[in-house]
Amino acid sequence: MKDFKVLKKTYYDSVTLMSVTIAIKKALNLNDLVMFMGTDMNKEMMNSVGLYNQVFDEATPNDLLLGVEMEEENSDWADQVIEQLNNKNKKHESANTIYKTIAQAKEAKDSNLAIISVPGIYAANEAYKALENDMHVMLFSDNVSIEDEIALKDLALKKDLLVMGPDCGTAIINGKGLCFANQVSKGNIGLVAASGTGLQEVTVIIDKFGGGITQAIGVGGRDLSEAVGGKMTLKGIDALNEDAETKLIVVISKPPHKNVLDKIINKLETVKKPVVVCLLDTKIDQKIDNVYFVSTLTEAGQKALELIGKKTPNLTELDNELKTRIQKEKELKKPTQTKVKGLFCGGTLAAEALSILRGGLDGITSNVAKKENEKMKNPMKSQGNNLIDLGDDMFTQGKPHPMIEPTIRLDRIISEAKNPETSVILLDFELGLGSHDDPVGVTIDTIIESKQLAEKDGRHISFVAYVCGTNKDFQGLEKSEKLLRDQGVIVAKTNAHAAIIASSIVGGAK
Amino acid sequence: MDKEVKVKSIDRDILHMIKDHQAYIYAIHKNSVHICVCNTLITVGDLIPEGKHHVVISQNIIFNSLGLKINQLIYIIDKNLYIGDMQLMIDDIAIKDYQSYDFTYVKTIKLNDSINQLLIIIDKNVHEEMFLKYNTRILKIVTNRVNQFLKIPILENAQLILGLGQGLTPYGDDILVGYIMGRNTIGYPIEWIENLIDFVDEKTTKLSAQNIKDTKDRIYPYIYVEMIEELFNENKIEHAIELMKIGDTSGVGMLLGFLHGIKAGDEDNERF
Amino acid sequence: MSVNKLFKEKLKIVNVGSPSFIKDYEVQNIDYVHLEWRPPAGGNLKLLSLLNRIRPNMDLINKANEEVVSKIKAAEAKLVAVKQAIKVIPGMTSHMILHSGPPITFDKMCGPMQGAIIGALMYEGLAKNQDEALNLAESGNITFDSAHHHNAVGPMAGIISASMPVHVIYNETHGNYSYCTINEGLGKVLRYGANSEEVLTRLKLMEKVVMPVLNQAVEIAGGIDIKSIITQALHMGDDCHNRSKASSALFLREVAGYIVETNFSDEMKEQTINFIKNNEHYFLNLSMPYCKVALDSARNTKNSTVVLAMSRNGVDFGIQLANNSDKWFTAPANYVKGLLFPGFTEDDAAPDIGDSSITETCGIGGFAMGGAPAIVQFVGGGVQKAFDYSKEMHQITAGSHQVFTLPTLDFMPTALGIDILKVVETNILPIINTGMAHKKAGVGQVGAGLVTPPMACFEKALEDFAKSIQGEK
Repeated sequence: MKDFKVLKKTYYDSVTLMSVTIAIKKALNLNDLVMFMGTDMNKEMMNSVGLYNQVFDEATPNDLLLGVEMEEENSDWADQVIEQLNNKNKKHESANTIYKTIAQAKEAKDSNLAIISVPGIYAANEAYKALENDMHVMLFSDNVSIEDEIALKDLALKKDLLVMGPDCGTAIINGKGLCFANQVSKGNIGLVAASGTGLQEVTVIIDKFGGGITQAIGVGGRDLSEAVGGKMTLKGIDALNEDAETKLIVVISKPPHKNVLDKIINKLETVKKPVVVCLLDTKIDQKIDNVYFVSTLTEAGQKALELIGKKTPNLTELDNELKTRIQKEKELKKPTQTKVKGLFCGGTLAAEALSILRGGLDGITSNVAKKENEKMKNPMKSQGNNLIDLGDDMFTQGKPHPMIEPTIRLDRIISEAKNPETSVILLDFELGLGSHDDPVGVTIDTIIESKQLAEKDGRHISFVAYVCGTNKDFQGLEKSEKLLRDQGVIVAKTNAHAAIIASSIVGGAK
Repeated sequence: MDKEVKVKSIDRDILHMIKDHQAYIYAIHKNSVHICVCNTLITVGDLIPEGKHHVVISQNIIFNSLGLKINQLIYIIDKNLYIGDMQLMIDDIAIKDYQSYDFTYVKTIKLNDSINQLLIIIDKNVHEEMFLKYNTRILKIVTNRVNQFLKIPILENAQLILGLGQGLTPYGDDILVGYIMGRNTIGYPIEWIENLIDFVDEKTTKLSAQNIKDTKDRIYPYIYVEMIEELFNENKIEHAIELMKIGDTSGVGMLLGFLHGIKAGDEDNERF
Repeated sequence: MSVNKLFKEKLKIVNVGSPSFIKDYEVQNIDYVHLEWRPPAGGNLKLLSLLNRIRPNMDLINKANEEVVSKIKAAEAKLVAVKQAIKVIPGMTSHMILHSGPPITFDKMCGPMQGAIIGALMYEGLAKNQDEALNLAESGNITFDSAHHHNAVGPMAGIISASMPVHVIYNETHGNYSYCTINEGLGKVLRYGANSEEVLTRLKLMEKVVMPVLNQAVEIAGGIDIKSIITQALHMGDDCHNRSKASSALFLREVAGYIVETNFSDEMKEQTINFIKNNEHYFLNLSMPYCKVALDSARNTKNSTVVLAMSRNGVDFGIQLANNSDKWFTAPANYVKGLLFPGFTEDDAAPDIGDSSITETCGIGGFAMGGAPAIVQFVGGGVQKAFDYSKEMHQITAGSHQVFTLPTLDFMPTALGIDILKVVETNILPIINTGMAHKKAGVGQVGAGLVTPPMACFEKALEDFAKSIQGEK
């Protein structure tokens, strides 16, 4: 009987392949075993010797095809082959130490940072242990009680340690991206952020226009609540103030409680370096020397770059090229098409879009809205201008987050396309560590399909997209943007920029 | 390790490419690794010949025991190449400017003797032994097609051996690489070469496709240059015989293709 | 270790949770360790919250535990005398019988223990036969108590009665004493619940011959250093619980010359020497009281979570802590898993019994398994398993020994000071290497193997400790 396997992107030289073939044939008493790279000619050849199977169809020349013919069934022949191939490729791992506790790891390796992503009910305990062992903590887990958060942060402050989180998804420490983070150039800007995707957006903007960062400290979404009082935010500001490499500090937060805002302002009055404070969706009138208050992530990035002497193109206004393009889009619309539908993977990006669009778009709602009149009645059903964060708990029960698995957005794109009132579909794509291997690639067919669907009905749908990533992210920023542009998607320079474009297409005030 | 491992040779352009762009580990073998930078594959090892896309190091490193992982980034910072935990120093003298090999030669009668001598050696001793380990049906298919191409070196036959064979550089590709190199050497361009190049990315492995393109552009590992010069200038075949030991079947394949390449056109032109 | 210091260092990450982050560390060349994480306390949220409540006091607890471990390590103990129980054991009376394990009433005791008590009563002359003995035992006129309450320990049934000879161990460092019977040997013996004529005769021999001769020999010697023998024996393949061949031989070597020097008859000297020589478990009844005397020196150390006693009475397993040492935390004992002697099945075995787990409590016995490859056949997994156990115990102790080391593990010191917090958190229980008794009195040993205390003991101890330390604040 015959059996087949494809090993994707597997590279072995012919000496290894040959010796393993011989060894396995003997060991498992096989009639035949062939292993060839999946080139067309090799496929033909394997077919000629009767060892071809349709699983080989999709294989590329950089995949390894395995074909076997055996007398008796041996279901783990492939595993054995793989093991042998790997054995030729692995050293004898003596003393493969298993670490079961933080204390063990600390003793053996003198670790300095624990990244904790266990279920919330256990996360606090692990964090305590890390702090007791003099380690900094990044708490990716959420569902940690507020009492524990306060106690942990108090203990950390006593020991001069960081607790990033709970619910902290992004940090960049010493140039290394942690959890969901982009590969960003090193430079002189330090950041403290209460929002993961917010931090991603600002660091990406800084990198895109020639700047770089020293540290990006996440503090978790609840740090700025009244109870927690901004403990880690203040600590982060202190640390960056003391860090010689950091010449400018950016603080990114959601609208904080008034008491906490006061604490931050008091702290900032003592900081000598310039500070850009981005309080999303809030305007501050206070004037403090060296402190600049902005209300969008794009402005935060721009201001930071400006202060370190880097020029940016105008990211909040539309240039002529765009204006022309937008005009073209508008001309193709049917009268029913008047609404913007935003489908987001990043919650903060949705929130930023909301803050920008509310001025120009009537009755805009969102499932991330804090204001009563902006809350979506039923996020499952689109109505009017709306922005949906598909990463919200209600969509991710038992499913992966859309940043990891963007395909959960696809059905929604189609249904928005079917809606005659849809003029613009606004999409975000996150690149970098933790995110899907090819978020655009996996979405583009649906975009094409939706456009066609609408065209059949005489409607032209405008797609506006923003790819949050740098040219160093493994998914390929340029490649992703090109893929979008090739399909007529308008690719914006920042998230705010995308919102502005979308707003403009539907004519702004309606 | 009793002495420091150094980089013996690295092409200047490649050095800058690695410095300025993301370079990552593409494949890990025992005595060598492949690095990918700007979509170009670079081989790093001690036993490989010098060349534009080869980084030769001073000592043997067993790469598959270093705990390296595919897609792991490698760096050049200042004068050091960092692969995993290994730090390899790059002296100034190790930085080379590899050029394409643009010389062409004229064949002589004496040369023909050498060529035939080599062909006999390959046929008798090496060819049979080499393929003994293969499945006989596969061996037959491969050798039939290769012979077909060598006899009538047209595009269709070239396509039949492109991507054919085991390993990262299939035997069929070795034959093609050698053949292209042979034709280059006698200054007799291949009519269908551009057409072939159009296919290579789809039809064979990334590494092999790169080799074929390099060869078309006259970028050869240095030992091939040495072999060519020895053969044409001194009429000696020592280097050629050394070459046959490379890889499992690669060296032999390349040489066989090369010899046919330089014999091409003997019947129907007055080249010499 | 400050935040700004972190910015200047190389990141060394411990990944606690999702392995999906691993590839990101590798791609960025970050030095990391991925934990084989399991929910602490076996996922038991109640226990976890107890641990969390105790957490703020960790500094106090750690300090107390360190103190306890130091005291235990510092014990230097000698065999200084061999005397009758009633003469040396505090609180002993003519109508008292001491037994192994936590306190238990006669009616609840298991077969072997009841059988041993019957034998003891006959030995004492308080009953003429087994029926009389049984009646007497049930009458209420005999006081039963844990040997532990009287600074004493005994293997298996651990029965000590007034006239029985006991080894007297003296801890020079702390000035405290401990006591243990003389080991009868193999076969039909009192400690397995046998009470036939043969057993009583042997007990008489021990009282009339071995005790006086050995006592004088020990006096002449000025005491026999027990710690030193244990140290050496651990380097000779003993674990000093289940395997005491080397230590028994070393003891005999130490004491033989002095036996010869005593002024007893040649016959008595010969009988004594042979008695010791023929019993390859002789030293168990010296290593046990050594451990007892060392552990006792740390009793009632406030705020310490270290276990100072682990003991079984054939029904329940009980532990005592350094904090508030008189309290027992008990739960039904487990059955020993291991190798059964030919002719016996698992059904024949009694639950875990005896004070001998005092050796593990003190970091030898099962904790030294890695140095005793001969025990491996009972471990059922090969020598590597034995090594692994010895190494694993370090995860649940507050410290380790200094001089008790295992050559096979590169002279790794054995783990010392079982910490209930660590046991609960890691869900790893201390491993005990012990014999199996037949559940019927008098049959004897049916096998040997491994057993652990029930987790419930540690949970109860934790609850109590949490209450007590909160009361401290």
